[in-house]
This record gives sequence, C-alpha cells and structure tokens, in this order.
Amino acid sequence: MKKIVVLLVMFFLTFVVVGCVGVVTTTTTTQATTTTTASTQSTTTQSQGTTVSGQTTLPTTTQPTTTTAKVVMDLPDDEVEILFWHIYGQEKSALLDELIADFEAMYPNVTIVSTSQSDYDTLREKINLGISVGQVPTMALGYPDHFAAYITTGAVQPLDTYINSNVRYELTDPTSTIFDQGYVDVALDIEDYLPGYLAENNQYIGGFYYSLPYSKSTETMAVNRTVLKAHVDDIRALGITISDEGFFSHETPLTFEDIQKLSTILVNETDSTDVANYQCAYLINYDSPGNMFINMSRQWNAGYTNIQGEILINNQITKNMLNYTKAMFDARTLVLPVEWSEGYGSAYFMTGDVCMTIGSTAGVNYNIPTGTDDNEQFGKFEVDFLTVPQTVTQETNNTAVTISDGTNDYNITGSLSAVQQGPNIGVFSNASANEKLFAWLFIKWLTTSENTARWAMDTGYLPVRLSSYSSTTPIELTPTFSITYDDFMGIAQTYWNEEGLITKRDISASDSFRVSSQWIELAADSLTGLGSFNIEEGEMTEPIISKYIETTGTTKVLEIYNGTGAELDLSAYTLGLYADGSTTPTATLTLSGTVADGDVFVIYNSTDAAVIAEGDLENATVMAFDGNDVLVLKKGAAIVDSIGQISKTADFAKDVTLVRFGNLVWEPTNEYWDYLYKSMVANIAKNQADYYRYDPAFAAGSGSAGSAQVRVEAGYCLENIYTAQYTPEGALSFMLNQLVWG
Amino acid sequence: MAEVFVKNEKVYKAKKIAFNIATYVFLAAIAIAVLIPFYWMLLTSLKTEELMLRIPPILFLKPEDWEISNYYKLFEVVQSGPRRGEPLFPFFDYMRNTIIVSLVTTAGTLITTVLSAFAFARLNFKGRDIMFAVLIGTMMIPGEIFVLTNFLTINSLGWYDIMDQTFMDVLFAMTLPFMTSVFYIFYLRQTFKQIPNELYYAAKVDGTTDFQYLLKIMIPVALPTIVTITILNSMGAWNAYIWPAIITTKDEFRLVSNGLRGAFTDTSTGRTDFGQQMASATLVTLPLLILFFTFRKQIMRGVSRSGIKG
Repeated sequence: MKKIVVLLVMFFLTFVVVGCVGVVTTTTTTQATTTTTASTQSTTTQSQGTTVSGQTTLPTTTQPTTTTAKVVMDLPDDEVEILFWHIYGQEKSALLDELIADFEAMYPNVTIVSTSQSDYDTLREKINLGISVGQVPTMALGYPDHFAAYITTGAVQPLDTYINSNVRYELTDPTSTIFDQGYVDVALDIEDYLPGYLAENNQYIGGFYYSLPYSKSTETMAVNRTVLKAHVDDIRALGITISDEGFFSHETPLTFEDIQKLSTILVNETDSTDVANYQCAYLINYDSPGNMFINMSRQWNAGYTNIQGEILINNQITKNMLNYTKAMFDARTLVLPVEWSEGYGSAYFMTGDVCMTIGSTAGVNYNIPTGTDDNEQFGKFEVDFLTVPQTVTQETNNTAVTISDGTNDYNITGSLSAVQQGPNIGVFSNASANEKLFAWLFIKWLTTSENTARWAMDTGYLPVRLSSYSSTTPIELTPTFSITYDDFMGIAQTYWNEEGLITKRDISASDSFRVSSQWIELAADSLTGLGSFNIEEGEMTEPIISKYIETTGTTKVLEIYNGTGAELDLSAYTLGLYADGSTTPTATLTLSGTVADGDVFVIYNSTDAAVIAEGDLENATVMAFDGNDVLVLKKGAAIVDSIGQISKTADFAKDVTLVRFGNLVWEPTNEYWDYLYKSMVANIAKNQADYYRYDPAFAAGSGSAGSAQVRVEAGYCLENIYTAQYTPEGALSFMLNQLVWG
Repeated sequence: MAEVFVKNEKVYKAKKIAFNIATYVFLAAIAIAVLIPFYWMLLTSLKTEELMLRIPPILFLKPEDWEISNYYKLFEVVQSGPRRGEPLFPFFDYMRNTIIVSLVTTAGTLITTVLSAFAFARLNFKGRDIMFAVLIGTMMIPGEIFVLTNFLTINSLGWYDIMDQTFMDVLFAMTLPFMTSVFYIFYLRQTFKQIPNELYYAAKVDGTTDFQYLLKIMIPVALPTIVTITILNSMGAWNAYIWPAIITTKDEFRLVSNGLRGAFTDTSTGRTDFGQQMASATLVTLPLLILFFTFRKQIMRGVSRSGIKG
C-alpha cells in the first residue's frame, strides 16, 4: 500500500516538475515568438494599410485586370508553414491531401498543415477563442456567419488586394513542378466564379471579399417518377407539361400553383399511401424548414434579414406567406420531417409515404430506393431530380400577380429563388505577409476550374467556377474511371434526352464520337457478354454496332445487333474501315447472312477460341483497326452507324472493350451510371444557378440574434405552424420574441 | 398446534416466494432499463443503414442478418493520396490518448484530493474552516465558465500553440485543470472525519508523523471512498468532451469522445453514419466491460464495503 502511494506521489512530483520545466522553456520560446510576431505584425498592419488606401481609391467597378501593367518580382522562397483548418474527415481529406501535395510540389518552400477540427461548431468556437489570444490558423473553412463574426474583430484578411493585384512573381526554384511556366500571377479571374457565390462572399462590411467559395451546394427536389408515370394523362389535363415517361422540365421549375394541382391527383384522400392507385400520403417533404422559410420569404419578396443584422420578418407579406404555406400543410401538399419526429424525410420518400422531397444536392444518395427493403411500398421506383418549386414563373418574375391557396387570394410581386449553401474559405490577417500570399495562392489552386470540378464530383458539392461546367480535362474519379466534367454533366443529359430509356440512336459519322456519352467502357481485353445484346424498349429501323473490342493482343471483334423487330438480311450492308485519318474507305467488307430479331452478328479477327465460338464472320482486312481507325456501317450509301469520327487520327479507342448502352444500363456495377444521380443534381443546380440567393450573414448584436440563430428560429416557426402549436401570426411573433431583444 | 405451525410455514413460504418473485421482477425491469441502451448500441452497430431506418424499428436481428461491415470499415485505410495506407479512423491512437489522459488525471486528482482532504479533516491551522467554505463555494460556479479562463491560462503557459503543439503540451493542457476536485475533497474529508480522533492520538503517542498516520491508518480505512473517487474520476476523464475538443489542435491528439463525434458525420449533409458510430462506441465500451468482468470482485467489494463505517 505504502509503496503504491509513494509511487503515486513520485509520479505526480515528476509530472509537476516536468510541467514546470515545460512552462519555463515554453515561456521563453513564447517570448521569442512574441518578438517575431511583433515584427510580422508591423508588416501586417502595413499590408492592411495598403488595403484600406487601395479600397478608398478603388471605384466600385472591377478593375480590368487584363490591361494592368504587371509588377514583376521574385517569388519569396523562405520556408512558409500554412495552417489550414477544416472539418473534413480522413475520407474527404484524401483528395484534399492530394491537392495539397500537388501545391507543395509547385511551391517547394511551402508546407501546408491541414487539420480537421471535427465539426463546424468546434471549428468556429476554437477560432473565436483563438482570436482573443492571437492563435488562429492561417486559413480556414467557414460559413458566412462565421466570417461575419470574425470580421467584427478585424481578424480576417480582405482578399481584394490579391484578386486585383498586378503583381507577377517569377519562379526561382528549379525544383518547382511549374518552374517551366516561369511566373505566377497573384490576380484571379473573379468573373469566372458563379455570381451568386461572389455576392455571398463580398456581402460583408465595406464590400470586401473576406472569403471565396469552396464547397457549395443547393437544394433540389427528388421525385418518384414511377408514381408520376402512372398519372401522365391526368397531369397533362391540368395543363402541366410532362413527358410520357413522367419527366417534368428540368429547366422550368414547377410553381406552387402546379404543386397544389398535382396534390389533387397524387395525394391520397386518407393519410396513407395507396400503392394500387399510385398515390402518396404526402406530396412534398421539405428537409430543412429553415431553408424553406428563407426561400419562401425570398420568393414572396417578403423581407427576411439584411446585412446590418435587422430582422425584417414582421410584415404582412410574411404573414400571408405563412398562411399560404399553412394551407399547403393542411392539404398534405407539404410535409416537414417533424411529422415523423425526424431530421430528414428521405427515408419516407424511399418508403413511398411522400412522393417528392426537397433536400441538399449533397445528400442525393439518401433519396435513392434500394429495392431490398420490404417497407419500400413502390419497390425500387425510378427517381428524377427537379429544380425546387417556385412561387412565380420566369415570365411573372418581379411582376405583380395574384396567387391563391384555394381559399384566399394574395397579391404578390415575387422572385425566383433557390438557396445556395455550403462553406467558404478565408485567410486570417494575423499571418505574415508571405503566409498570406501562399494561403491566397492555395485558395487559387483549390478553386482552379479543374480542381473545383474534381472536388465537386468526388464529394457531391458543386463547382464554384463557370468554366468548370464545360471543362474537358479528364478527371480520375476511381482508378478505373475517368471523366471530364462536361461528360459528367452529359450523363444526366443523355438519360433525360433518351427519356430514361435507351432506344435507337441516330448516330452519323459527323457526330462527334464520345465514348462516355454513348458507350460503356469495360476493362481492356474483356469479352464480357460477347454474343448477346439486348435493348429492352423501343424499336429501331436499322442495326447498330453493339460491341467493339480492340484488345492489347491481336484480337479485334465487332458485334452488330438487330433490334428492328424482324429478321434482317445483312447482304445490303457494308462495313468500311477508314484507317489513320483517311476520308475514304481503306477497306470494305460486304456483310452476308441473316440475323434474327434480338440477336447479334459477330465479325472477328482472332485466334481466341472464346471469340471464334461466338463468331459469325471472320475477316482480316476491315477488322484490322488499331484504335485510331474509324469504322462505318452503311446500307447502300447511307450511314447506319459508326465508331469514331472520319478524318480524325487520334487514338480514341485503343486497347478497350466498348459496349453500347443497352441492357447494361441498370447494372449497378457500371461506374458511369453510378454517377447518374450526382450528374442529375449537378445539372439541376446549374439550371437554377441564375436565381440562387444567399443568407445575409451577420454576427449576433446587442439587440438581436445572429443570422445562424435566425435561420434556426425560422425553422422552428414553420414547425410550430406545421404541428398547429401556433397560428401563423402566433408563430411569427413567437419567433420575433426569440430573436429581437432591443 | 403442529398443523397451525405447518400452515404458518406454508403462508410464510408463499409470502417469501411472492416477495422473491416481486424482487426479481423489479430487478429484471431495472436491469433491462440499464441494459437497453447498450443493447441498442450493439444492435444498431449490426444493422445496415436500411434496417436502421425501418419503422417500426427492428428489435431483434438474426445472426445471418448481422452487418459486420460497420466494424471492419472502422479499420479501413485511406485508399489514395499522400496518406495512403494510414487508417481512415485512427481508433487506436484515440484510445491510447484517452487512456493516458484518464490515468494521469486520476493519479493527479487522487494525490491532491487525499492530501487536502487530510488537511481539512485532521490538521488544525488558522482559517481552515473559512478556506474550506470558500472551496465549497466554488462548487457553485458551473464548470463551463472555467473553459474560457482555463483556455487563457493554458495559452499563456504556451501549451496551446496551434502551429506546433506537442503531445506533452496536450497532455498537460488536458490534465492539469482537472487534477483537483472540490467535490472529491469534500467527499473524502467527510469520510476522514468519521475516523475516531482516538486513533489519531494513539498514533501520535506511538510517535508516528501526520504523513505516516495518513498512509498507514487513514488511507486503508477510507479505501472504499478512494476507490469510488478513482472510478468516478476516470469515468469523467473518459467522457470529457468540450475541453479536449478545444485544446487539441491536431487530429492525432484527440480523445475517443471527440473522435467519435466528428468522424462519422457526412460533412456535406450533416448526416451521421450511425452504424459505424455505434460500432466504434461498442469498441470503446468493450475495454471497460472487460475491465469490469476481470476485476468484478474487487470493484464490488469496494462498493459494498463503502457502506461500513471505519
């Protein structure tokens, strides 16, 4: 016993002694660092001084950066350590780490320490605490209201000096991976960022950019297309455009007027789902009541908050809006997750209790039914994504109109609006001039057209740059799958163009041939499915090329599929080879024999027994393509189908097995289609980007709560109305009481 | 007479059985109430996302439906990038940190508590009672208020250097503010006070010093209380959340509690992967359970003895 106690005391004493030594040493080092911070601070104030003077002389119009003469100097090569705080766990930070490694290779004197602070609240709390003692990271992720609070203490660096800088740094370190490029410009093409994101990031005091967009998302509406498909005629009778396959327009949003009409068809009389009649218990679930309140306020031009921190909700338009919303709650047209005491309604969308659901674009995967759950009343139904419903149309945008909730009419002048959300990235002013410079260059690097597209596809966020949407640089998403953002957007477009079905494609040689938009690429040398092909729906008048195999060996195979609905005599068809950019056929093969309906005809050049077993016709002249050669199937003089583009010489299909979209379409193993839903929401987001709106961000003041709190209370307000705890007026005044103290 | 006796015995037996049944039913009900959260944790950790969302919830799961992927996902490694091969969720690092921090905090707490409780209970010095009253008064201040002052202290001691924080910094920062507890001092002082003064005087006559008296008499007599303090304090350290989250700047310094909070939440949607979270919670609980079952006798003895006065 005694020994143990003595041991404990000894242990404690050592601990205290070590601690004291630690204190002594650290205080001395702290003193040392204090002096250095003092010196860096003087440079900081200097740079801030220039910012301020730069701002006062700057007119509000953006400076034309192209004509500005460059001030050229050497890039600082002192060792710089940048501390970047975010909240990405190991999984997401894998890509971030790659981008950091690339950046460090570009600037070998820079080390970026990227640290996750687990969640946004912890991150903000630590920065707020850190500001009081001068311990803030060089740069951090944050929501606009976080930055608004940091700005009140002067802790954030305005980025305008960098954006409009005319400084060009010459690269002096030959080990840099971009040394050949010669120089790096500080300035940034700010015009290339989505205007909505820019407005959000310079809404702060003085109109400075205190942050730049990084991980952005918006809301989208997932719909149960299987249910819609069953009511196509009824929906058309209401005057709403819908395709035979149950697709609404992906550009023109539905209005709440449309939604109310749809509700009469799609919502069951009792509050339960009727599978036989394709009716749900509720029409639309809105995941975030806070977003719903804000978005509806904007759509009604009701006034919500402003950047001065004034809370403008106490007005008649807001009251009308809430009454209008309540009417939709009562009709089961709208439902909030509070109905099921949940935070999200996705589970109830999948089970079929609700036909449509509005949620974050980043949460797409939560809305796709699995087909394995017995509770999914519609089974594995088909899902489509739409823009969020609007109160007014593109035509009645900002014009006086009268809308009705069935009992009351309201005169409004509304606007189109969809929320934009997601964190931004900013730099703290405490850092040294060099740290800030490289932090800035790092932000530039993270948001290059290609990197932001890559980040978006990898994480489910959206690109922050306009040019990303048309980017044609292939991006590797998995070791076996690469795609450009343009083609990524094309996944959904193809699906929508084809009405969710793969039918005959009219492809001519003049079409620009893109593997990803019409073909599925299998692993090199794969013979998977050779000898059989099937397209479930649709009729075609001509055969198509269904498989193309160009192996790493000598085997070449081409498979032709007859989906015409009758037996086909092939003797009318020829297959031409246009080798190495030739504009005339270098070899021609006249086909022979017949092929039954739904069957394939295999032409081959191979000694592989597996190929010969499936083969119908052997040939060595046309079947000598090697990856850059074009193949054209003709009936007489008319082109029926082709692979590649005549006159092009690039290797577009070397060492690959290509399979035409067909019965493979719904195979979940196919990576291309794995991105279908992500692609859909990316398209939706792009289509509603014109009317993105953001929350004015402000910190809590002496008389009222901060913007984050207003959003939370706005959510409670709608929930209180939904649960009939309060009348709309009552809920609104309760909300005001919670927010305004002055 | 004998019949009456037999009859009485029968009644007595019946009563006893009824009483036993009532007791066991009551105990079973309480046991279920206590065990359900653990059962639910285990059950959730074995469910797929889809099973988790089922309504009504699934209460029992056949072994063939168990989804053990939640467990091995915890030990996955990063697939690409510069951190390739490193664990996705550094579970063992977090565990190690938690164990070290709770050991150090508990050791420190025990030393300060025993010494000051002894002083307040046994030693006579000027202002003892006033000092004690002031100490008790500090219990009125909610712990969260200390976060800011503690943070400022730790920062000025140089242990919160965000650019270059070492593990020793973190260890001091996390343990030092929690090495004393007024409540435990008060608790132990009351136990010490119950030890008869005669023992102290007798020991003094025998020539022992105060410290020897503390070691040889007081600590052994008050051992059950000290064991209780040890258990409560380790639990507190194990569960600490806010302070460790604020004071650690690097991921590798985090405790299991913070690690569990953030690691399984999808940052873009704010949704949590409950399956994995519960799987890791199960793994965190496991060492404590093993500890309990191994030292069951000692712990129970400590708890039961604490009822007997020294």
